[in-house]
Amino acid sequence: VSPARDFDDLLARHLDRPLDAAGRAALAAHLRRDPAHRRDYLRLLEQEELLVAGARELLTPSARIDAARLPRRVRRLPRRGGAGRPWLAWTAAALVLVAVGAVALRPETETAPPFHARVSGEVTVLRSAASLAGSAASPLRHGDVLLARTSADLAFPDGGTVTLGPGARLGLRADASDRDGVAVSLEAGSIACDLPTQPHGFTVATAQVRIAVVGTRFRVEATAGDSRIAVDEGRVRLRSSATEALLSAGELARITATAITRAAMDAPARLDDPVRWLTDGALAAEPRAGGATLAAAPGGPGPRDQWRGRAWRWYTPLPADAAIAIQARFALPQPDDGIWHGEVFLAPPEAERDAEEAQPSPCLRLSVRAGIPTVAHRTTPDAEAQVSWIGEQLPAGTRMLRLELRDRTVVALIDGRAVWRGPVPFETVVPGLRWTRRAAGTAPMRIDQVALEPLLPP
Amino acid sequence: LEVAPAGVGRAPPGTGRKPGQVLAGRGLISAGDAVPTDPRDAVTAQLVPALPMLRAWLRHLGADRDQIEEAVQDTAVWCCAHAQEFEPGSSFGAWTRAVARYRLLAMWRDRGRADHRLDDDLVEAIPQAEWDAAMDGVDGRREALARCLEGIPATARRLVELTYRDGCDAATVARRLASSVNAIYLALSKLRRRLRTCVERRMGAT
Repeated sequence: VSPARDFDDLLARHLDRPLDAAGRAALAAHLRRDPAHRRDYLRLLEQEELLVAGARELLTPSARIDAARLPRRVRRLPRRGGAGRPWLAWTAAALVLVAVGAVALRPETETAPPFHARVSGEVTVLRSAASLAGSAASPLRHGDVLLARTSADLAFPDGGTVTLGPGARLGLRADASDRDGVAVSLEAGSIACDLPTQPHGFTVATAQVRIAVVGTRFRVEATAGDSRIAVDEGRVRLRSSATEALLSAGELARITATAITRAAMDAPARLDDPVRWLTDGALAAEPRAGGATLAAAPGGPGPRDQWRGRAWRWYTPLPADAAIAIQARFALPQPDDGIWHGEVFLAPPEAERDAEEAQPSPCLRLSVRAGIPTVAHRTTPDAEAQVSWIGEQLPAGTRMLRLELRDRTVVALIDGRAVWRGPVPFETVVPGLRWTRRAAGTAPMRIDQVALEPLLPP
Repeated sequence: LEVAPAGVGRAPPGTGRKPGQVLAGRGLISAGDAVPTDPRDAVTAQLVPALPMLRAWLRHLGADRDQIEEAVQDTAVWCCAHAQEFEPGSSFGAWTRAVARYRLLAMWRDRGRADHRLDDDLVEAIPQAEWDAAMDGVDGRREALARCLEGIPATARRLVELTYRDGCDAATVARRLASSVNAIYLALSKLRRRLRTCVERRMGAT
């Protein structure tokens, strides 16, 4: 074994799990022997940590929670059965409550039965740890995993299609509950389904939910933390470990391991809706009972270094044992393009005295300033903010900040990934968000979505 | 870390602030002031690009993946809370590595790890100056790595996903891919070398 190979082997074991004493001694000897080995070692260690810390972002940009990234509405296909409205033939299917694990998505063997569909587009088919170009993989087999490079179509003999969004990862599986049924598993990314009436079941499974359809058009986006479903036509039945729900045309839902929250698509924003939307930096709603306040930014053009800020706050106090989530989607510019700050927070009611200042001083908040996320809380207006968590710098782009309050515990999430958990420091809270930027850069600091959602009890 | 919009309305009663002034960090700023200079901001700004090498340091000390996560958070929060203790002009990397080393040892001791000492021979095999030198240019390498990952074949991508995104150890990856642990070690070594070469090439091209 060559010294280089020996070093690589040692390094591979070291990166897999801590070495034993003999391994550590051998590694130390290698490192002492040669400065080049040390440089090499440090670069590989750094690379390893970049991969560990950023794997999700580096590998699947589509994993970010972003409803706008769902595929555009799919084209309407001719329906079997003529003028009938096939989605009205929807019938509820009894479904098994299963969280789909990655094991279930593993490629199976070459002897697996054919999967009756054709794939086209820039797609890689993974089969038994091998990869095939889309065209070479025909016919598809149960157990294959489709990995869409840009976008791809899966066409079924009955005219139905499933369109895979860029980066989508879709497993083709036999449906154990229906011998002739079709089942796909969405591990990551998004798909749009346009399916005529199915004589047998058609199901889409994600890590959080199983979606049963007969004939409908709908879209799904899945991440490790949640799934989002938007129904364009017909209805689908959702079943997760938390609960089950029937979703109709025009509705969207977000499913996590513990809750299903739903809202109307394209509905005029109303403050008593479970989900509200901001557009172009302005609250697209009128204050109503239990509603919100929006503090205006300083008017008119100001000096170059003036802070511009806005804040949005629910003005009805909620008990600390309420089950709610506040989230906002920020479009973050490059960190070196001005200084900006976006945050979601939970504040005590007395912080309302600061309403005109656009920032309640005592609060627990998840914030991003110049790309660096932190969780911190301040107990009184004059107390120092106690930082509880600091993350790595986030790349520019759309980022979802979310605080979930349940059982007097707050969970902070960034792009659907829980980053911190702790007790809520106040007896009653008002949720809100704030965004400011220092007008030194050219890129705007935008927030284009905010939601205050009741969480269903587990 | 605490920054609020300046010149927005009146100050809350009892804060001693004037209209147009708001808290920023632990001081006051007004419209037109320079960027706040809270020492915690300065520490945070230096800490974030230092995190990959801080993780690498903890890995070098013998921490596993979960311990690295916890010790890094512990170190970051501690450094932020004790920002005023950092002497400007001294080695920031050395300061954070010393803190991380202490926090890791405390964690091992608190959890009753049988051997909660460091292997001094391995720790001292790399001079601290070389750790400091290795910290430069991490942002460029991160960007280059992202580009390099786009070009790897599907089988290698699957390996990366299982190892880094899903956090599987080599034995689990071997089971999932119906392979042997040694074969996975070899495949990962080749992949790391390939990525490193790609990153170096991209960095050299810029």
